[in-house]
Amino acid sequence: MFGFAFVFIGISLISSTLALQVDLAGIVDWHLPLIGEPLLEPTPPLYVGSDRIVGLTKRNVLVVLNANNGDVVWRHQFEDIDPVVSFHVKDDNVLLLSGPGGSTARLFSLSTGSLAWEKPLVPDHQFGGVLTTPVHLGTDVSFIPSHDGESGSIVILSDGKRITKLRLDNGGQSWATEVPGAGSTILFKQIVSSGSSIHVLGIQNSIASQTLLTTTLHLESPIPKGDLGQIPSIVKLPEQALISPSLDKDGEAVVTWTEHGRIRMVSIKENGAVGKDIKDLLPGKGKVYEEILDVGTRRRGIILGRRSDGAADVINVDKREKVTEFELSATSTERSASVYSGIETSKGVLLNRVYWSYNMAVGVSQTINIADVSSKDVISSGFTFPYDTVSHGTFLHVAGSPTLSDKQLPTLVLTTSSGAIQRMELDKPGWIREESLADIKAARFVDLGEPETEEVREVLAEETFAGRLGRHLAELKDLPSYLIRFARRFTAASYTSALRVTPLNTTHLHRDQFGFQKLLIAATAKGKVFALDSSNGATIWSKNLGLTSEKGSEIEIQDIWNVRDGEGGREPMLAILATKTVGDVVKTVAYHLDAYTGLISGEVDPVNHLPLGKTLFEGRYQDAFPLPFENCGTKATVLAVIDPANSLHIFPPCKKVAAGIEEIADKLFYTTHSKSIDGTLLKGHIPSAAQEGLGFKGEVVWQHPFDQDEIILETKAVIFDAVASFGRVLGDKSTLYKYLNPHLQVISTFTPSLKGLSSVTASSQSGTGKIYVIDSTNGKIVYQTEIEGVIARGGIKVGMVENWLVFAWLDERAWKIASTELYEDTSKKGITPSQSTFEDTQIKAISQTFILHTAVKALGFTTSKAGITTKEVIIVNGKNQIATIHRRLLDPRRPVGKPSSMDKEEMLIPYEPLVPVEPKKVISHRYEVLGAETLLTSSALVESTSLLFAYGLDLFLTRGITPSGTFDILSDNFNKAQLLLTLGALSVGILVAGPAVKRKELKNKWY
Amino acid sequence: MTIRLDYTVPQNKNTSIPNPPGYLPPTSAKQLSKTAQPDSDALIKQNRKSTELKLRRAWDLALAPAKSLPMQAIMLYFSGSGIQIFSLGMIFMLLTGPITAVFNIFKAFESLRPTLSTTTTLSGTKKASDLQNAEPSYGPLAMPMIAYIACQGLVLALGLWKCSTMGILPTGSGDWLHFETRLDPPEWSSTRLLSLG
Repeated sequence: MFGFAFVFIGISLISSTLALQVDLAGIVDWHLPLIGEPLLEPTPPLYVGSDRIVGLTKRNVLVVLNANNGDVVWRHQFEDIDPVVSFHVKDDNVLLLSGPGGSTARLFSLSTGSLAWEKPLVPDHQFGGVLTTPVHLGTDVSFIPSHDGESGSIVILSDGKRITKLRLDNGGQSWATEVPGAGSTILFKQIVSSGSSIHVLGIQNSIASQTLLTTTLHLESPIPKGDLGQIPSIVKLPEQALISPSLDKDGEAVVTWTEHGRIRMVSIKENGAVGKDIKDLLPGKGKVYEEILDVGTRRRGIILGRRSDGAADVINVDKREKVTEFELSATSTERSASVYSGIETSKGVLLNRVYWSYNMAVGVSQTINIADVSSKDVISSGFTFPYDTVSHGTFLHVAGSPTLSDKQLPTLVLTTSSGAIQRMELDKPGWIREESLADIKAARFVDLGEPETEEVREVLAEETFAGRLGRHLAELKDLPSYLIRFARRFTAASYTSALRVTPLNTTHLHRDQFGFQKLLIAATAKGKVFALDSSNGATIWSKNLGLTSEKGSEIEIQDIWNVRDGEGGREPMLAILATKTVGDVVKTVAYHLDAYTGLISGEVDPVNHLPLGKTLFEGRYQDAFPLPFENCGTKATVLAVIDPANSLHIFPPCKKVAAGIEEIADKLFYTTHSKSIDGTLLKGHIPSAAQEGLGFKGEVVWQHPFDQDEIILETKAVIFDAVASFGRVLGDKSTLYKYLNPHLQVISTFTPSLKGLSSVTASSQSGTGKIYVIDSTNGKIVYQTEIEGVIARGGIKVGMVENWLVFAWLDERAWKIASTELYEDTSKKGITPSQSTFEDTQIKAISQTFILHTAVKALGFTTSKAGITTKEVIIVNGKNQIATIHRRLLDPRRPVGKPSSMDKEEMLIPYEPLVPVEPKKVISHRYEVLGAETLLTSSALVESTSLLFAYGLDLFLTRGITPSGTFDILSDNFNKAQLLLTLGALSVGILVAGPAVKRKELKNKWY
Repeated sequence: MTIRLDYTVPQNKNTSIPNPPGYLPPTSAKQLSKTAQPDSDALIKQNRKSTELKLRRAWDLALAPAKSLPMQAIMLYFSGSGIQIFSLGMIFMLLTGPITAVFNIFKAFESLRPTLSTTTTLSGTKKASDLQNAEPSYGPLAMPMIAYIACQGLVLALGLWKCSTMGILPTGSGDWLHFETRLDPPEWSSTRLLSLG
């Protein structure tokens, strides 16, 4: 028993020595908090106060940015089942509506980001709400200012029918009601409060058209003031109708809509009666307007009306008149489509418009300042700004500051189609947030060369002997300083100081001495490729592969591969596979990219100079992998791409490689999935006859059917890098030989249990999970296991490295993690992986299940150069931290019950169901890495250390993972000075004692 | 006349302490050389006696390691099976001792070589001169030397046995695992090829 206490103490000591030290934080890692692309409907990013921007994003994040530097002030990410709908700012309060139909309200403090209260608005039994398109239809918020010392309150419309009045200070519910008359054909979409009334605008669906109606409730109690007020109207789209409060007549409201090319308005009286005064704007001019635009200023009575020629008029609905119009806003070939936005000021509004001028190739901003909506004074101003359309695409939204500079110009925050958010001022382009990095599709590390060798190679190439001699002589004057530097480095250098590396830039692309510094190439879904410095996350270069517009991106990058390394002075090369959508045609396109410069080889588009790439075939590819061949010209690894018809294409095409493939055709296997009514079918293929221009036709060699209702969750390939040991030595010195098979695929599936199939409980649905380990050459199931009671929400996370399979899932009680090791069932010498997989190998699986304290959002493994260092499991836990789990704790051979002497010899820890939480194993320490989904690891030059790049939403990179300790790096507390002093003292001693001893010996010979 | 100091002659001639076996008083040696044929029978007898004595000593020497075995076993038992400096030191002695002893076997038995006793069967006249000229030989020591090697082997075996109980003998397949090599797998699959890029 004592022995195990010692083992435990030992392990705890190991972990404390392995743990990250505080002083390494920020040196060995970096973290880039991202928010994702902004959500533009219904509440686009809003400039609040002097330096805050509030916004929602497509990644379900509510964020407040600092407008001066673009940093995140605070942010909250919500669960997928709770999608954000809209936000509403009032003073220091940010009200967030989320959930289907706006079923939850939360109030945050704008300055601190702390949650004041959270309130479900829809009773539990109605969970789900009305599913509308767009999702925010049928939700609205109206603030009611405080009076008589009482707290202000909020009236919220959710689910298209439910109105709730809450106190602003504590979220206490004053009342809640369902609007009387709301039924299957009536959907309420907007509310305004005015005086003692709450006016609600609804839309009634009839067979032919949609008509508007209103209802009015009393502010203090949920009692309708009258019947539903029918407005004689025909509305095509729900967005083309809105309600705004009347500014001069307290208690009244105005409904505005478009009908037959006209903007019409009608007033709603305080008692809910619809006025008789339906009036056209600009009567007698015919069909002038195409649509009305609510730019967020309807509560001030200002909306925009887009005319049929594309120009935008500013309309004051309260006064029912056109105030002014944006100059040169009609559709023209000289400029791009305009983006409008508005912001309320203390008494008036500021309206902004930006567009791209094709003639001048600049961005143009126009601002209309209506300082007081009750007056007719209008100030227009504008400026132009430089803007890189190739890199950032078109404008999607502009948020203008509520205050203007002394030149009457606003500060703009632009949202662009490339997914960037950037600040723009006159003559002063500001910060850029590249939010497309929140959507990385694939990333790869690129190794860099050593500075000395690289430089020497360059110099030596064109230097004569005399020249070199002269250079060395000239450099002799640097000798003293070099010696001093050498001495200082020799005595004072430490691990930490070695970790401080020079940042990379386009001219300096060299690694540090430990190989921690690499180039990180990240390809984002929207077709933009970034090269990041792995030591600090700075962007070295970025490159757009395709155009982006308001419709999205024509290029969608799928994956990238390292196809050539930087050995021999060549530039490392990467291959990119993307799908290009032009109209309805989807094509698979491939590119070759130079990792150092971002240059893409091949033809470019003559107009916009974007690379064209090589079109491989029509349709999306199913699978792609590198081949064991090099292209004759570029020496780049050739990529195999599987087209929708299961044929194999090669990129770049090369006859020699094609001949090589034919040679090994019977030994080259690839798999595809095909879905049908009978469930998914996994098929194994080999390439057969090559057809001109069509690639190699795939020939099915095996297939594995899954059950009809079995859903494939994850498919992962076994990680098979450097194998340091072929087995595991037991206590009696015999060996368990690992079952090593590089062809294994791990597939996790989920079969819902038939009982709870209703969509409402889909998130908490439970069922059976299955894990398959399939040999992809012959389709044999090497290992299979079944898990009961899996909750669908958590999914099943799998991973396999060498012979070690790990999978984590959520069941009714807790998160579980299972660890399985596959061994050859033989008493003789091991034979894998040199043996053909078609020969029979008996396999023994040892597995064990553990309970985890925390959720597992992603799962990965550490890696190392030679595979000697222990491999650890890396997880993203429920607190959005990245942590590792000790390998020995997940050992499936941990003995249950009293450990035998052999177990003790192996130093196995007795089994305990719970894997303890070790705060020291949290490698992301204080950072919250939101939304990390993929863990990419890479080895450094030192065996002990593993680099980890986590992406998903935030980016996080660390080079501080040392599962076996930094055994090959001297630690900081190693006293080099003492060692040197001791050596020096000993040398002196030898020098002094040597002659003395010699003399004595001589004397001894005389006497 | 010259005064000659001879310290080798005992002061007291009547001492009762006998000379060591094989010791010939110098005076008698001188007489021996002068008188051509002294008492050869006595010499032979003496020689045989010393040979017997040497053989007995040789056997003692040969069996000495075996006699110390129980002692060493007890010490090993007390040193425990943990890998520590003391037990390792003992094992080092146990393993290197027998090997060096065997290598130095001729040195160890050098002083115990008897002079050839084959002359005893020859005619008496030659005996004395033969004895004078006879080289000492290892021949009669063959058996003790073999026994010596065997006993050292026992010690070595004890050391090896101790090593094996400590688990530091590379007997299991696990000890040779790191020298094992494997060929590359013969097949290519998309899964395996992913590791190329």
